[in-house]
Amino acid sequence: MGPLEAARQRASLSMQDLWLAYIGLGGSASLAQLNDFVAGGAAADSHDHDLVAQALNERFIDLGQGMPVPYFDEL
Amino acid sequence: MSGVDEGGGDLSAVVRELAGVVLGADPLEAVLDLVVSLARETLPGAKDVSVTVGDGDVLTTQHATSEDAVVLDHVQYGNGDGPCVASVREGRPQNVDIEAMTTRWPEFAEAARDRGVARVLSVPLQARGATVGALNLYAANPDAFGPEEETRARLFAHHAAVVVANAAAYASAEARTAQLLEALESRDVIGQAKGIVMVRERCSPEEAFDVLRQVSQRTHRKLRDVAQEVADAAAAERRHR
Repeated sequence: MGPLEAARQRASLSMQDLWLAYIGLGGSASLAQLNDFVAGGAAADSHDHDLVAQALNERFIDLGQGMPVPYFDEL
Repeated sequence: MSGVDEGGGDLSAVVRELAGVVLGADPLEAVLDLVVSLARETLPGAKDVSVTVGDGDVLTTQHATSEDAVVLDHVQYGNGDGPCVASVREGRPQNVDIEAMTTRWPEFAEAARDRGVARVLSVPLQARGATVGALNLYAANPDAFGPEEETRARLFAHHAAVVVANAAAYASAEARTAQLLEALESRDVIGQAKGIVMVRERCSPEEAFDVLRQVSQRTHRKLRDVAQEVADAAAAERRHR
């Protein structure tokens, strides 16, 4: 399991809610494409990775757990 | 159904009325209002009725005939137990008088006693093989619901479940739309801020996103809030020009 999927599960965020957050940040991939690169191991470009990491980190802010998900340049 | 028609309204008429609900034509509140008022008609011993929706993890009271019923439902959600919670979890009716409540759920029993409730009957609402919630009947008389009434309540719940499941699906579609609108608003503000950064820094949209993202990361603020600030500052600058 990749770091994004692990973080998604830890944040108890459904793939659909993650997709909505990703779209809200400016992402353009479909729900199926998002699912492929978050859970399915397909390669994501750095920008899509950072959009998903941001969406997850904002969820963790709501949960009071800081911003633990690494961005592309931190991997 | 004559065997279960004594002591309440005509159950088959009630079922016909439930079957006549057209989703979308009646507002959600009206549908649930109909369900609880028909429940009260079917089980006249119930002084308060509520409908809980959820699959066990997250339960919410979608509709209730009184504030007392809302409070009694919420005491159970808070404790993670009680007749309603147990009926959803176990998928079978819970029919308890005040004595049984006191033994099983003392905190809930106290709240019930405070509100003049001496008998609770919670029946799971099951549609398409899954439990979608519960119908909760609160009575003042400890003997309000015997085996006869329980059977009536189960039959009623059997028909009401489909209506409630559809209403819940409809509500979740509406909530989805609201979330999507919120996402679009956020996307719009972030798009504005990216445009401003692109002009200032002569950079690509992805690089502009990175600039905003790094501010968010440094300050532990959401990107949308950072973007709003950038957009507001640019608007203020424009006014002072």
